[in-house]
Amino acid sequence: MSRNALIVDPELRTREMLIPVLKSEGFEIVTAGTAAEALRLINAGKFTLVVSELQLEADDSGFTLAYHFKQREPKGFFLILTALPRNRGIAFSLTDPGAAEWIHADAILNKEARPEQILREIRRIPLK
Amino acid sequence: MPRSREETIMFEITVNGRVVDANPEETILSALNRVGITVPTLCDMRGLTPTGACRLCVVEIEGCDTLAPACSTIVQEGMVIATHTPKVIRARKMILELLLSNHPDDCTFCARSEDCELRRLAAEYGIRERFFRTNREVTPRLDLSCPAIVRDASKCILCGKCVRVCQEIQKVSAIGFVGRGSETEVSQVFRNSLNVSDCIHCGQCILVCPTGALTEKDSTQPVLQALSDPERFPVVQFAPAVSVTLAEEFQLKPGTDLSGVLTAALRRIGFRAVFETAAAADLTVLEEAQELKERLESGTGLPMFTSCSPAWVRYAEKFYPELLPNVSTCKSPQAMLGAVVKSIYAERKKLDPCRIYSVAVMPCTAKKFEAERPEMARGGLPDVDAVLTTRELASLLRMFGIRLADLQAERADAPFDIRSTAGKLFGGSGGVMESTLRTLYHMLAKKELKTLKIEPVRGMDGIKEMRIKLPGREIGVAVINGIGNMPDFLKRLKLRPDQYQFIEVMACPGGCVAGGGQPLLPDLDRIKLRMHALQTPDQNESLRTAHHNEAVLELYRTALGEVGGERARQLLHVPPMKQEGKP
Repeated sequence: MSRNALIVDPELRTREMLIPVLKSEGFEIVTAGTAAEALRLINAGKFTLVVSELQLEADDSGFTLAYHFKQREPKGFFLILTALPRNRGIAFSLTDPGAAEWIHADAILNKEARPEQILREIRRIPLK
Repeated sequence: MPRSREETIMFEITVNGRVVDANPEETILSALNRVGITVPTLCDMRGLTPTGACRLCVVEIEGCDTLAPACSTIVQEGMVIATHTPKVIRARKMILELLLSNHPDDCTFCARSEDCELRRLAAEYGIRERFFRTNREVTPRLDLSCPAIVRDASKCILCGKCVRVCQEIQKVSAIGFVGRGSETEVSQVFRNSLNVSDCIHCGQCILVCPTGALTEKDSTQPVLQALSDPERFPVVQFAPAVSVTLAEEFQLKPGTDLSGVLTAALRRIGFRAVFETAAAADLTVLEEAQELKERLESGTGLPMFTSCSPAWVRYAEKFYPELLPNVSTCKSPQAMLGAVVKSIYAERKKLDPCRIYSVAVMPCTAKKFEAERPEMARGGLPDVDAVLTTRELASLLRMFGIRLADLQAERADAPFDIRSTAGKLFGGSGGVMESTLRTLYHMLAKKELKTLKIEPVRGMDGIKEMRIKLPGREIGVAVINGIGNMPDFLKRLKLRPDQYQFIEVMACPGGCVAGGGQPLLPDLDRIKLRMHALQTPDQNESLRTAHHNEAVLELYRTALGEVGGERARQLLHVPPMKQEGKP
């Protein structure tokens, strides 16, 4: 069975850079540039993995998206890949027990992550 | 030290009404420092070209209209200098106020709040309010992308020390000044993040940064969480170079070896087992000597480079990928220990390896990067889960209210409880070479080297070379002390490739004792004391070679099989290195 991944980022460059990385792990890929479009796709399809920026229509769109995704796909993997620390100086970490309670994501990486860092995270998704 | 030649041509200058000797061609600052007169400075780096960037060292010179920076003005015979007149003090205060005008004021939350040089000077000059309010919003601009080093551009005062260390000492040039005028900032090529730059994560920039602009990536949070999680089994290892520097963080005598006390302290804060990385270094020595022996016998993959300095390995990947087949396939002692703990140790203790949370306390920021490498894991399970620097360890110990002076030394846990003095030597430049040669000689000759101490590879020279007689052949070895010496050495290697068979490289000048994770602002004297502390056991103790370490030998007998054998390869080696992006 093929696995589907959704890439959500306002920048075309980021979306296109992620495609070969996820393809190498055997994912079929769909992309979205806004949270609204991503939400529509999530509700219409079945995704194993979502890789999303935090800052979409709003600075925290990614969090809302993660919440909706997990409501629909509790076993899905949500990876936040964000430039928020660089743009706003705010950082989130899942190792902070408080944050882990309300952030419905499985991993947070910073933009300009190396492919091996992304692979390291998504290889945690069990193959069925 | 006798400086007779210089003394004969010294002349006199007057400083604050007092006659002082000075050398021609030295800077005013250097003459002032020699007689113990201090002027503040944020950008001065002894031994490197002065830049005059911060202007805090300005002094008044009789006959000059303007103030002159002491760090970049050459003394002249008969100069009359005043270092602390009201005019000078006013100017310095103004400079500090300007530096602070666009500096964040969230000092409480800054990693350097305790030892920020800018903050110390601001206090010294009585600055108690923000004098200039700029229109520019002072928000942090964080680069958190790199697993080893964090940069906050908003805290940078453009002193240029990090740039000079990176370019002039390490000769890596991952960072530089980008932009002009008020838009100038320290950044990477194309303003990319550190993570995808040429940075080798040595962390030498952190050691010299006067503010909180450069810090290590904090790992204390995940470690604390693992310590409080009943499901996890937290274990810890500490490097030999950490045990001889931790004292400095607690205002104890520099060069004190705290191994036993540190073992006790780590148990107090909740680690279930404490291991000495120096013991794993003995394992590395055996594997590395065996690998070198095989390479010498087959005549391939020579010269062999050591692989325990992760910043050097990264440097090779970035700048000289053609050398990668020559880098030893041995994992570093950190990763070897991690791999053994999550396999053999776990089996013995009947633990699920996934429950073990393996922490390494290292003198190094690049080890944080190394721990995340896909090669340093088996089946997605990393050998080491978190790396703390010496500085992070100190903050953790303070957090737990540990008073080192009250603790009795304790012994580490098996199988990494016994270490030879050779394993201890790993923490300084030349140590890996010396330890490996001792064991290689024994492997080939079946007897010990006549003198175990190999003097020519010790010391602070940038490139150390020697030839050593082994049974049946003589080999040439070299020790590269500081990655900045690599380009020069590689020219030598190119001219006489057959001259060298084994080369040790340490990215940081001095080796791990001067690593990027060590106490800040080290000077050469301090580094020598640390080195001395590593070498002291080698004079006093009897177990001086890895191949006589009973704990390690027992590990081979009961679990690892032969040195360089199948299980050892699987656990303790990485696949031969390839150029990134090439199959």
